Amino acid sequence: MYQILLRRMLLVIPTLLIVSIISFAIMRAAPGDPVQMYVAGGLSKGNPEDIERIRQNLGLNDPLPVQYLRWLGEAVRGNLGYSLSSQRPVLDLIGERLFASLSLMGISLVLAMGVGISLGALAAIKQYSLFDYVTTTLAVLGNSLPSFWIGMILIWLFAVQLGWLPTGQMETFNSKDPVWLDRLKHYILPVFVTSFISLIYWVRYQRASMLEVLHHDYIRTARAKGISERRIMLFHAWRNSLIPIITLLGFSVANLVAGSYVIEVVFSWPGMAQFGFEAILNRDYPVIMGVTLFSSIFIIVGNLLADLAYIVVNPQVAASSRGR
Amino acid sequence: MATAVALPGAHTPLKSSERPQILRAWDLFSRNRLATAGLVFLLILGCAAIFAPWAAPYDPNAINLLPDQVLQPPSWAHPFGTDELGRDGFSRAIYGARISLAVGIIASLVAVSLGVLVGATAGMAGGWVDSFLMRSVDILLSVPLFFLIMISQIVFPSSIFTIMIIIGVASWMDISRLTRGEFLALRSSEFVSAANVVGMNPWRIAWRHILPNASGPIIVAATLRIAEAIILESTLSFIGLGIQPPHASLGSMLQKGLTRLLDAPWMVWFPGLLIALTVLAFNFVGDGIRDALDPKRLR
Repeated sequence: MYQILLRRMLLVIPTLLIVSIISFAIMRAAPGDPVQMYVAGGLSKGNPEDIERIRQNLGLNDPLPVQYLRWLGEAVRGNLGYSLSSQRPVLDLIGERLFASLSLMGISLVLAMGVGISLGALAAIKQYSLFDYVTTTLAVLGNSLPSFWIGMILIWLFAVQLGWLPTGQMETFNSKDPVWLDRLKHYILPVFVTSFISLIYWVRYQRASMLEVLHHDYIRTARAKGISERRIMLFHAWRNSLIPIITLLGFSVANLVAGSYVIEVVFSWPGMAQFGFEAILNRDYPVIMGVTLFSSIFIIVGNLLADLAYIVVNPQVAASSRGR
Repeated sequence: MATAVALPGAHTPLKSSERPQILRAWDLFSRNRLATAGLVFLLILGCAAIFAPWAAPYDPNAINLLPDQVLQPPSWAHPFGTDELGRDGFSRAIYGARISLAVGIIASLVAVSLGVLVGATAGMAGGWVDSFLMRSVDILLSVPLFFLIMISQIVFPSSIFTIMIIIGVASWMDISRLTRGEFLALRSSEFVSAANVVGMNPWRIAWRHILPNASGPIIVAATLRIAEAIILESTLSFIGLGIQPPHASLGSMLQKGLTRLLDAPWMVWFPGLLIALTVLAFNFVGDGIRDALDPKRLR
């Protein structure tokens, strides 16, 4: 297991390199000229001589591999360049939006994991009951509804029709509510939608894993020993069923990163994904590179966390490493 | 004839039933009510999509700006209401479903072809080729694909065709893992050894003997992949990076709908419901095929 962890660690660097090469290559294949955007926001043609000078200054006339290596050289030193549309450092701009994205994803992840694991385990214990039926149906349904559509329906219901919650953004300017309440109200809908889309996976896998564990001999042994059903479920079955589930963490993070783009757009959430989406529309290359890089770092960290959690949860791994 | 070689243990005929396997699978499938309902729904939707010019009551792009035709709520004349240009929502939904289905199916085909190609190569070749291909898959799974798809959408001229290809190219990785697993398991089976013994070309073995036996899980994955591709396409179109006007998919209809949540929420209800039902149907059918092909249930 530690070898797997080590191998994953070693994969981090090539992964980041490949991500940056792919996105760099795709962007530079684009027909539009970023300098046009840089000069007068793309509104006027600009003086050809000026444009040529700017191209020269930005190094856009060099061969692509040279341009990529220059970007890479700066990136490893923590300089991701400057936004073409606002001329501010990309790292600062992303930093400003990191909290909005990370808090939304973090809360949703914890919520989805907690609720999903509990619902899935309960559904397995009461297999074929009404509760099991409703939970599994909800899980299939949640897997089939586009997240942005759920978001829109909820906005329509709770913000437009009932007026209980705001339609989007992270805070209301000049709100009557105290700051914490205002923030809370803005988080409810996006957190609900974001956690709902990954809740499904937790429910499904937890239910399957729990059912698998319940068929093992040691559960029968525990029952034969006369341990209370409650204790068997909690300490014998549930704990063991968590081992395979925990690997879902990596997948779930990747899923959240992908899903957050559209959710941030629907709720006008001032996060990194929404920012990246705007950068794509504006062809703001340095920002696009930065957002891509950060997104893949999230996914990689999620995978590493999953591997670590697997080691912590799985007593067999711990035992085998002690034995050595 | 290499294909005529039959060793004991390879393809032993099942005693209990003389019916071909495909018919027994169909029996199991048709006993699954949700899967059958899903299939019926998809057949109806598919027919409506193929024959859209006849199935749609109105021209989907016919603009009618008369005040009593714009933003009409659902009625008998317009079951899905009308949009801000007075276009019939029902007709637009049929044409939208046509595009969404086409994108889903073709993208899934692209993903399955690539995935099977890579997975089969890795599984057959083994050694460093296998390690290299599978490590590459690991790396690609850590790439923020949705973002790359978004970038590609502005780079390549946005057409229905490029969306199909891009979604397909971005989602073959887990199918290749699945295929490799199947190939590894089947490679050591007796009928493959038999084919090896009679001197068959390994690629021919892969194509004629292993792939048909591995096809069950691949077909299931392909069906579920259609559902995912439809969601992906609708998401892209919803944020304005997918299907471009004058074409409309169900997702781009929702994009319009978001700006009309206040006065015409039906523009959001129906295309979304149609996406959900279609995806649900593909999921049910996929699960149904999985159960029907499960060897544990073939007695």
